[in-house]
Amino acid sequence: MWVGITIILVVWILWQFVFGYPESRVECENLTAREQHLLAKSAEAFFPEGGSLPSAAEAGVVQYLDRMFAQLPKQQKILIRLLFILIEHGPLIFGPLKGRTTRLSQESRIDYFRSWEESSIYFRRLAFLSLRSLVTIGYFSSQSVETALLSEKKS
Amino acid sequence: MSLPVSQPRVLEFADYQAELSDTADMIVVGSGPGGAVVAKELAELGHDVILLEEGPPFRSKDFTPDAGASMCRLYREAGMRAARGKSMFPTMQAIALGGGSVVNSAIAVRPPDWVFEKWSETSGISLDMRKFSKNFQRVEDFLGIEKTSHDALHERNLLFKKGCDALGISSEPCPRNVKKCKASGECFSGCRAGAKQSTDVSYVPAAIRHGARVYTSVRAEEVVIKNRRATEILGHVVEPFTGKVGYAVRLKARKAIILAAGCMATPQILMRSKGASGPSGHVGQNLQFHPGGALMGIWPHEVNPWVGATQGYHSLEFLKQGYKLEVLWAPASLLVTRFPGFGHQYKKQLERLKHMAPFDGIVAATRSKGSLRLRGKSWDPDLRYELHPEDQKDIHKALISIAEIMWASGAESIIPGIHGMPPEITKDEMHVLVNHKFDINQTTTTCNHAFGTTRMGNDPTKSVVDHSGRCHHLDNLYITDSGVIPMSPAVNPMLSIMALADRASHLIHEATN
Repeated sequence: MWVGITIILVVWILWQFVFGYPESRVECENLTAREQHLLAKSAEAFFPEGGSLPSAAEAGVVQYLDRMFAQLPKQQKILIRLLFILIEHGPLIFGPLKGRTTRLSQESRIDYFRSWEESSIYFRRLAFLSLRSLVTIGYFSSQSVETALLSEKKS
Repeated sequence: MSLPVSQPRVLEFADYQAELSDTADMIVVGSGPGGAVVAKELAELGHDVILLEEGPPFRSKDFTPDAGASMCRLYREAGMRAARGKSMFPTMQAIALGGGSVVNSAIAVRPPDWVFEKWSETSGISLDMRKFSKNFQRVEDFLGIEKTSHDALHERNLLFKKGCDALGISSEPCPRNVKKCKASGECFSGCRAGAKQSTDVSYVPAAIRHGARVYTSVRAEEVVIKNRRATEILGHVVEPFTGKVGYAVRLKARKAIILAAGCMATPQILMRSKGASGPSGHVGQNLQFHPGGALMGIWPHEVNPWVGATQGYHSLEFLKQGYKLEVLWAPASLLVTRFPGFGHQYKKQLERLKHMAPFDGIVAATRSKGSLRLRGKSWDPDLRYELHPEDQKDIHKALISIAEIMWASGAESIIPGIHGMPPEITKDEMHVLVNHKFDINQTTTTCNHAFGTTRMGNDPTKSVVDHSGRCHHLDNLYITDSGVIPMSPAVNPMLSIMALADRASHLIHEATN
């Protein structure tokens, strides 16, 4: 019986944390499907649909970061990939133990990110700031965002 | 391949079709504020000069306000370089013809005289201020340095002035090496208006007019030393943006080699060159920065902060207390990352951006020290830096002064961006900032003025170069970048670096003739 429970547990953990990523819905050449999925979900937490400003998807955040990723030096690519892994599988270490970040509901994901932002551990806050910076750089690269936010400049 | 002296021009990556070898009187490594001045002055004094630059040249049309693209193209380590200590300190170094002058905000300000007295106490070198003042003047005249014109200020800069005036704090438009500024606020990603007089459009062309040859996309990697003399530079052509190594480079110097690759690259060249570091053990030590912090003010009216000179106004009132206050602008994407909230709340914050303006403070941090070490074969160094608790207190004081200026200019609230504080405070809640137990790990502290890694001094056991920039133990190897600065200039260091380089040029000329 214990063997069966262990197998089920291992399969569940692998499914929750390693496998089961949807196929990429945007054209990317450099980021893996997992990385795209994490970035898309993270960007959605910062810049959801609705309101007067474009959403992350409308701003093309993932596509931008895919292009930017290609320009990064090797070492920075490695560091950013490690950052993605840490954020994606952070729930395993820091909770909530509901699976990887991309499996969380939008509400839970925001709570999860808030726990990083407000963490008493400096390293966690720094990692979160790095993710937020990347996504925000991607968001502001969009012409529609620039037009909406930096209006006087455009006129 | 080599260029005939009769055909001086700039070589770019695509021009190299074979290994490069050449000979000149003087080889200058680095085209930023330290190197370009020396190259121009020595060429003007009649020396045959080669100027090397690892980065590519950029034209105005090559610049983009897009933060990500700019960081990847213009900055080392894609703008993600950081010094490690108790905290991570982001520090940005440019890789371009013109070096840091291409991406700084063009502030060109003289330090007060007491700074040089402190330098003298530290280094044992007394600079003749009457003569040194002429070096400053020569640079200021050449670059046409002027205080930022009223037309270029706009509301963000004027709010700072208004706040300072209301509090009786002295302030002034920043003196800058800019002509016909378009007030685009894009200094940090390169001037698309072509107004900034960075060295790639000022000193380097002047050096070329006097016969200098400029080899871009060439990384100097080793200085060959023979019998106390620097005789050759060895290196490689490197592809822009990818850093891929290409043809070998071998350049012979008849008279002198001048390293001005910046205070993070020059020590690495010395450490990788047999017999170049000298016995002092100070190469790569004494790394110093001007750590800085910023607050984002929110006013009831529209400020449109993206319009106006990037850093058009500053206050030198608190220099003796250890900090300088400035107006700031940078790509918006970098400034808003510390905004609180998620989702629609975060987007609502962004919509208020037009009502906001950031002011910053940089501290002299004379008690803090760091070091630079090689990281294997990589040319990205391992940087360590520890901020002294007293310097940390100065950052807190600077932030309090900034907040007071913001309130005095009519700000209705401030986003502190400090962990452990409320996301936004009003004037009535100022005590929260004042009484906050400030710790450097609670905020992002940038360190963009770097110096001291090859400091000058009279004592060869405690310094790397003498008063002329010459390495103590060698006859003709000089350093003229920010590494020679013995301690904080209290203000933005570019003009001081250029004045020191101007001074060194004439001393090198005298020594080699």
